[in-house]
Amino acid sequence: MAKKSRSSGLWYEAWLRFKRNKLALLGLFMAASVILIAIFASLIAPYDPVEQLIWTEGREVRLAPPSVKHWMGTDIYGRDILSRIIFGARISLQIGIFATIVSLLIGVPLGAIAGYMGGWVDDLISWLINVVFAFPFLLFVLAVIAVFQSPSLRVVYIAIGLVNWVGIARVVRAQFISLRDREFVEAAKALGLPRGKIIFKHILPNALAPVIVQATLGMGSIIMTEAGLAFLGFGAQPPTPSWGLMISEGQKYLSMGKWWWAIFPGLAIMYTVLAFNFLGDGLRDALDVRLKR
Amino acid sequence: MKRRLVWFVMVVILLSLVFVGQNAAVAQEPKYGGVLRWRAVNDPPKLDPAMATDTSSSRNVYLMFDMLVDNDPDGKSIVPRLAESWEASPDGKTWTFHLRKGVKFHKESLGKPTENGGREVTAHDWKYSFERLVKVNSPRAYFIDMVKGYQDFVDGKADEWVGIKVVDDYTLQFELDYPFSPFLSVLAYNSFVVVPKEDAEKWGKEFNFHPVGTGAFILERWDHDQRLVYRKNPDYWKKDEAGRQLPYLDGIEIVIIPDNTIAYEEFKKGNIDVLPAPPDEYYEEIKAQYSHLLQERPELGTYYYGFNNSKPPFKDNLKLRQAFNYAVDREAINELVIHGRYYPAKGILPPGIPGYNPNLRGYEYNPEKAKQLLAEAGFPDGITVDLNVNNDPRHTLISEAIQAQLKNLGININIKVLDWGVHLDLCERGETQMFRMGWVADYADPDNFLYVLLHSENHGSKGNYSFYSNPKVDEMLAAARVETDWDKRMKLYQEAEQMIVDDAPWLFLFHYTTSLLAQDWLKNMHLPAFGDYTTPLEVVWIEK
Repeated sequence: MAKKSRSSGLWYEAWLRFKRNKLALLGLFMAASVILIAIFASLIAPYDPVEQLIWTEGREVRLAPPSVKHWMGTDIYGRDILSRIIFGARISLQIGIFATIVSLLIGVPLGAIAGYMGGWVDDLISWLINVVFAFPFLLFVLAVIAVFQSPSLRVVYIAIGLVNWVGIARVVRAQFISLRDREFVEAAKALGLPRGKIIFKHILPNALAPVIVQATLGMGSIIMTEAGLAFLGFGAQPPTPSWGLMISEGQKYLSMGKWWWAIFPGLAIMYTVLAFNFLGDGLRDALDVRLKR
Repeated sequence: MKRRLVWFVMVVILLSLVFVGQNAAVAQEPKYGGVLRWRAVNDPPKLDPAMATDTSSSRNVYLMFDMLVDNDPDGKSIVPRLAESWEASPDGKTWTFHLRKGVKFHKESLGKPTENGGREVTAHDWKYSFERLVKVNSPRAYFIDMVKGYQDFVDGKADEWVGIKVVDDYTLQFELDYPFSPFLSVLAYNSFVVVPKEDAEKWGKEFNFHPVGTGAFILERWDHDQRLVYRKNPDYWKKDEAGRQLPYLDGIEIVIIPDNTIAYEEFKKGNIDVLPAPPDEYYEEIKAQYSHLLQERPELGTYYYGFNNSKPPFKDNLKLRQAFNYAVDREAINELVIHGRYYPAKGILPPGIPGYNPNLRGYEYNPEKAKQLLAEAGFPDGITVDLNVNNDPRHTLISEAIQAQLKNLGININIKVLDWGVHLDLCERGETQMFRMGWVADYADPDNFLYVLLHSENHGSKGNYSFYSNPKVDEMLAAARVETDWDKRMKLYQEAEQMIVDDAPWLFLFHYTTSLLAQDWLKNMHLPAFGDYTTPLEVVWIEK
């Protein structure tokens, strides 16, 4: 009866629920497409994303509108916008993933400790969470970047991670508070297991579902933040094909009728953020058992 | 058929000649009346001339106040303003100014009578105005710190500035600690104006919001972040060549419009008369459709990338610095990336500054030579260098083009876009490898460029961010500062500049231009080399 025992597993049930959700499937498909584009960027992209064609081919490739040769047109240096958008997927995902990892590395242990220990430890960590929460998000990130005095992708994802962990910490803390007095935890305590082992081996796996939801939903907002930082000039540095940077460079030319430089990266950001939001929403619906009952 | 055509052409030519003749005759006769609307990007931070250091403040200060002397429109010489004439003693340490008679302070300001009641300006007012600069901590008072007794007066050890003497009501004398040849040019700076003691004392710090001067226009209303309304000063001292009272205009409105698109649309509709520094993104359209309304000329400013001459890899590596200079195609970048709004530079001094040398030996675009020099410099396989740029779309635009051109030679540039404050701080502390910087003249003298930016005394925050030092150059620049013979001075500066350019402490790039769009009903409007914000408006009239 192996089949039956599988069908009753939490993850399998979640997948069944997920499958029934059309928007969630769409999100999965969209996110997968962005990931594939990022992985195979160098195979798909028709041009080198940083090659400036104006120096060799002259004025015709400067701010050229979409054509057969350049599907999304070119920018002022004659760089192919389609190729830059394809490579830009790498930047966005890279930031999204690494900033999420940094957030998890900080948020999960702090949330777990706060939720499990309670008392003054919880008070202290909750206070810290509230302080970071109270701060305007973008301003805090800009301040962290200013401390490094040298903007780069690594600085950006560390900065975002340093601010973004609070959401994850809150979710983990809430889970731990509701789980810490359950029988299986009592049992583990009674066996005399060390505290670390109880927290990370016994409680954490049970608290994982909401963390996954939070992290997925967070991807969208992190990608937006990166684009915002790049737009302001404090994110990815030129000539990196970051979507936010492309909008920032191209927006002045919108009014000149050269819309393709800023509009296409804008659409790319929209697509990616939507993808992760649909996916995250679907995961929440699928994993949140209470909601479905 | 052919004959008729000939006749027709002849008639057209004749008619057009008649019309041109008429137009020329009409244009001779100025018209009084009307209000000129000038676009500003932001509220002027300061209207107190002692405090005004930025161009938007200066625009307003020039309307309301007068200096002793002025720059001529081409920046080539100094012309009289409130001083009719002057002379320097043979040792260059005493300067005597003969003041114009009959110059009167504003009788009213912001719709109310002023304390001074519109009385005449005398040498006593000038002494007061200069001493006031020190009392209110003007950030530009140090420009004339060579006037005797400056330090004692600043430290409060003396209750007057002894180097400034009132000989009689219409004669003012400055005594300097040492001969300082750019002195006259410095006095044309917008902080060195005359203000009435009665009003300045009455308002104190609030003088900023109740400015009273001698200028062609009187402040009538200041709606913050919206507009400044000026009306003409009926008692203005200046007359035109035919003896007619200036200004012709009834008033000026400085209209504050932060957004470029809106400002441009307003200009097109005719709601704005002057659009200074038309935005890049419309430049091509303007060139195509409004070139007859566009005035443009080189500005007294220089745009460069400094190398840090005190740290590797650029320290003691002349060939490396020269290789960079040969590797950049300034003309192509100017034309293709920044709409041709700059001028490619060979050296430091911009055209329009006295001593500018059109025959300077600079660096042309020569990738072969650059490659060879790079190899000789010890980097045959290329090199990676950090370039710090402050956060501004135009600067990043240029830096990306240069990055791509250098990449062809194996030079990898890491662009770091930084906030202006951080950027300046790193430059001042010498914690850069290569950095973007620009310099616009405070006063039209080569001293303001070469001494400030490249004398070893000024390493760091004083202006020499590239930490360049060459004892020979130092010596020449110091000698030029005290040389009283104009031609000898200029020769010294030209020799020094050539020596510096040969040393290649910078990647020489561009000179700025200044430009404005003016409606065709504005007459006698001339853009000066000093920048759009110094355009004299008392001589402009409206012909609608």
